[in-house]
Amino acid sequence: MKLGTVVLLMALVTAPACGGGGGGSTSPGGSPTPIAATFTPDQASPGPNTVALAEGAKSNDVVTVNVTVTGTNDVFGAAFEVLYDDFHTTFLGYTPGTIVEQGGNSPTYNVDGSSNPGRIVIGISRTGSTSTDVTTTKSLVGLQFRVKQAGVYQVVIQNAVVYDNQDPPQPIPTIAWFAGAVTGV
Amino acid sequence: MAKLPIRSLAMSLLCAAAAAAPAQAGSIVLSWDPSQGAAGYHVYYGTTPGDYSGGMITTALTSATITGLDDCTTYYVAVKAFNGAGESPNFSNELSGWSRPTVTSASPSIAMQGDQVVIDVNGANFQGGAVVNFGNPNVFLTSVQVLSCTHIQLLATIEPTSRSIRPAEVGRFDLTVSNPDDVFGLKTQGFEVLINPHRFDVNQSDATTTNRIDGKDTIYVSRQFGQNESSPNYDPDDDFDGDGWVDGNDVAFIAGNLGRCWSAATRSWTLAACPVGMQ
Repeated sequence: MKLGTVVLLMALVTAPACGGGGGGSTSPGGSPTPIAATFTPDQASPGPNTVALAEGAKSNDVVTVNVTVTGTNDVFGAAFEVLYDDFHTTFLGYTPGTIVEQGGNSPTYNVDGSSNPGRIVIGISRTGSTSTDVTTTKSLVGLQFRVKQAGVYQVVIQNAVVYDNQDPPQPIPTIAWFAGAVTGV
Repeated sequence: MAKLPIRSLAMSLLCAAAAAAPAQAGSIVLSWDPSQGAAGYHVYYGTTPGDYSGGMITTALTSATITGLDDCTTYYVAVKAFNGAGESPNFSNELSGWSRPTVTSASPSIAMQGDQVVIDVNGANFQGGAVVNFGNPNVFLTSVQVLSCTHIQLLATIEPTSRSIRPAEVGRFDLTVSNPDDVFGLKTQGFEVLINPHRFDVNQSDATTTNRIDGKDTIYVSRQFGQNESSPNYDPDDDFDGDGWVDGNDVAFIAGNLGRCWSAATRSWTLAACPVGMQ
């Protein structure tokens, strides 16, 4: 694990290069086999000062990828971008997490996954001046993907920063980020 | 019955006290103190002192509006009271003035935050020393010149011209010209201030965010959320619409442009302006 600024997982996004893809399996009768979507994290047991993607709820071809924060104090918000294979997967939307709402704060979720397919631009934060401590592992946001074809599709994180509550907010140093892969079987 | 002397007839030209009063071309509004026993008043006017041959109107009130007057012309006005016994032999004191200013246009009538632009205000009855007001405290007007009674030219500075300056509020505002006698005319919503979208890039902390809108910008504004201009921590750079508050509208301006880069050519945020790796 690299601790430092941000770990950029430079995996290729296109599925064939990742060893996945190739079309869904077909039953002897010719009808396509339903795809079961899962998510495999790069770091299954993230330590303190980490942001990691983790598998959330899943149903058939849809899986929620939770963006989790572990053991980080003074969190005001986070800004990052998620790159995904928009040919084999579809970004469906997001569900709020539990971190920035703590203490009754009215957070802002700015998630744009429609203007630039394959890239989700995200800014999530509390509003006002207070931050929150994340002592265990909690979810910042859930990102829902539908897998269209069997295969393994890497998810990449870019331009990622966790901010404290200074004015203006300052990056919290030594945060490590971990991504993972969406899989359809 | 003896004819009535007019007593305490202290006329004064009114500046139109009510902003809602429409600016009426070629008109003078005046009022006077009532005269005891008067049934009504005759208002005489003309373009030469002491010569009221220009016209006369009759009213039972103690105010009147003279209409149909020529622009940019000094009129002289005096009043007589009357009742059943006839008209007072004496005029009131004489007042003089121009018709109410009228504002027909500003050219240009639209400017963007950060602009400095020469604006021509067109209309009529502008007197030397007239004051122009754009109804927006952060639009600063300098070098105001009354070039003629129909033309005022000025330099408008639409803040903010740099960071950390309170921005002009966006929207359409009434454009008012007030003559030195406090009579004014206005053009409703005569001037519009547009938001300067380049300001949305509040976070320029690194190469990936300069001239690009991303989540970092939303977080900067969210940190200021709820601050207003009376708060010591208010940051005008995050108040994009200049309404004095950092609020959901300001966050929305950024959110609507997430992932886009600045195009100097179109002065807008577009995906096409981003480097290939960021598209």
